[in-house]
Amino acid sequence: MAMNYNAKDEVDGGPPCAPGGTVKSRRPDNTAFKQQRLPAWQPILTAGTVLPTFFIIGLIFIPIGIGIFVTSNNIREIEIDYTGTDPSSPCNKCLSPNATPCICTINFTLEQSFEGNVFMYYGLSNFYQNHRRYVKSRDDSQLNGDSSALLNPSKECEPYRRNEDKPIAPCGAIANSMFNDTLELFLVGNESYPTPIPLKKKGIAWWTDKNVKFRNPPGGESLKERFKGTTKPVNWVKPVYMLDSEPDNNGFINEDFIVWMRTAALPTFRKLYRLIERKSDLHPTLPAGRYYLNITYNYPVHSFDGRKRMILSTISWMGGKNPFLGIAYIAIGSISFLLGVVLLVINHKYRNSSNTADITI
Amino acid sequence: MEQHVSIDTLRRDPSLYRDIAKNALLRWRVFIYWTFLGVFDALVFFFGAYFMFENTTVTSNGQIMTTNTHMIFGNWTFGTLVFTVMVFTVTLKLALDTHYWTWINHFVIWGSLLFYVVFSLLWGGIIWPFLNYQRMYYVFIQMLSSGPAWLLIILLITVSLLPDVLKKVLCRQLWPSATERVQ
Repeated sequence: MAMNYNAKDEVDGGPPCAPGGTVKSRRPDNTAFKQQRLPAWQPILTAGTVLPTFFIIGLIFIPIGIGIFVTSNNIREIEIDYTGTDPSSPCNKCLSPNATPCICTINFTLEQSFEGNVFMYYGLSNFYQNHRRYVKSRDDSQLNGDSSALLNPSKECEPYRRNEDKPIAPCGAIANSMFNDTLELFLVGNESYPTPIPLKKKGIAWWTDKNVKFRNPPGGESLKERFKGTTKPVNWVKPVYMLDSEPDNNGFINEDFIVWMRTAALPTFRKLYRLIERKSDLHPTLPAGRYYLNITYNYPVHSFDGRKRMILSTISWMGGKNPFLGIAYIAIGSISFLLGVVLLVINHKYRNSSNTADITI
Repeated sequence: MEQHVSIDTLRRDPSLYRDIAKNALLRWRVFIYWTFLGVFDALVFFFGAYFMFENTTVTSNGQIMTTNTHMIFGNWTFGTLVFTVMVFTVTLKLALDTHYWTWINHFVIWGSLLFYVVFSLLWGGIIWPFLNYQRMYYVFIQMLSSGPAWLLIILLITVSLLPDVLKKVLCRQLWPSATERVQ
């Protein structure tokens, strides 16, 4: 706000002071700061400065948008819904299984081959991993390997804190609802027998999660001993120290578990399940053809109208398929360019009339 | 600190004071305009991030990682993205509205942004022992290591600030006040 320079703080005309008098002047110091004369830059947003900016934004955003859009369109993706609510679906029998585990098979065809690294995700719908009470229901110190928290989990994990008078490891609702379907992929080749596709299960979680944030509790030789005194979560079939046979993927540092514990932002989400590494550069990772997916259907979603999917996707420098970003960049770039043109026209029209502007009082 | 016109100009032409008569700069009209701008910006931040996360897998390339991991964004990354866009937009809006840039203004505004980035890096960089939840661990750094997240941040900041800049320029061009004519 413009401040007035006023002379109110000058010395008032009081009694004349004797030489050497001690009446202190109330006048503020004559420094640049106190007299508001600091050196300053005073930019003004005129059409002349802003117009090039609009054009530059348009010229930069549109090619970026086109680049992103083209990259996104080149990403191959296929989504297979295997919830089985439709009576004709092969997994319909698993909705109310006679015998557990229920195994169903879905056939699908890849029209085009997938090159490079292929990522296999499982997707869930209508599953609110971002519900507030759900997100709070975990104990990060227990997952970090703290021995005291292992046997005495935090109160936030209620009601999944203790079971049968023993503490649950890992406690909480997030761990309890871990996804436990098993998916296997087979290529139906020209020969009569189908070839299984090798699925890599390491390297799917954040490196920092697996090596820093999640740690197994310290202690004895076997993992089973280190978890002594705890019990498995209520909905789990196997306890946490039997999640995998390999010791660096077992217990709390099991990568499927870590991926699940990273709560998703929206109710329809997908999580990385397995990696299909690229073979040599000559052969596509997943050639076009017929495949079938073997599912061990353990995870019940139909009670809350959820859906389950398996997604296969290649990846680019900008991640998975993301049409929104490309379209948004193109749109904003075009709008900016258009606004620049409009401003140019207005500027031109009014430039002449502003020369004859009268000073209105 | 903030001077729309310099002191000497005001002394030369005191009729400029009429522009701020009757509390013109803090009237309801200005207030409602800022409120609508705030609502528009909020919608841009949230729904921009929402549509990006919705039917895609936003991953990063893992360039700073030793292993070739492809990490999935989660709940906290979504929130961090929205919050980062908000902090930058609000600070830059303030910068756009400042007419008189002294060294203090530079220090405070750019210092604010720098402090936010440094603080977020430190906050998420270590497992702080006094915290009950380690949910923010590495979230900020991991968000910054992803190309699409950067692109989205730049896009959302631009979209939020565009209407205000447009309005300023148009009003100065078409209906300049006496103050603006003198500037």
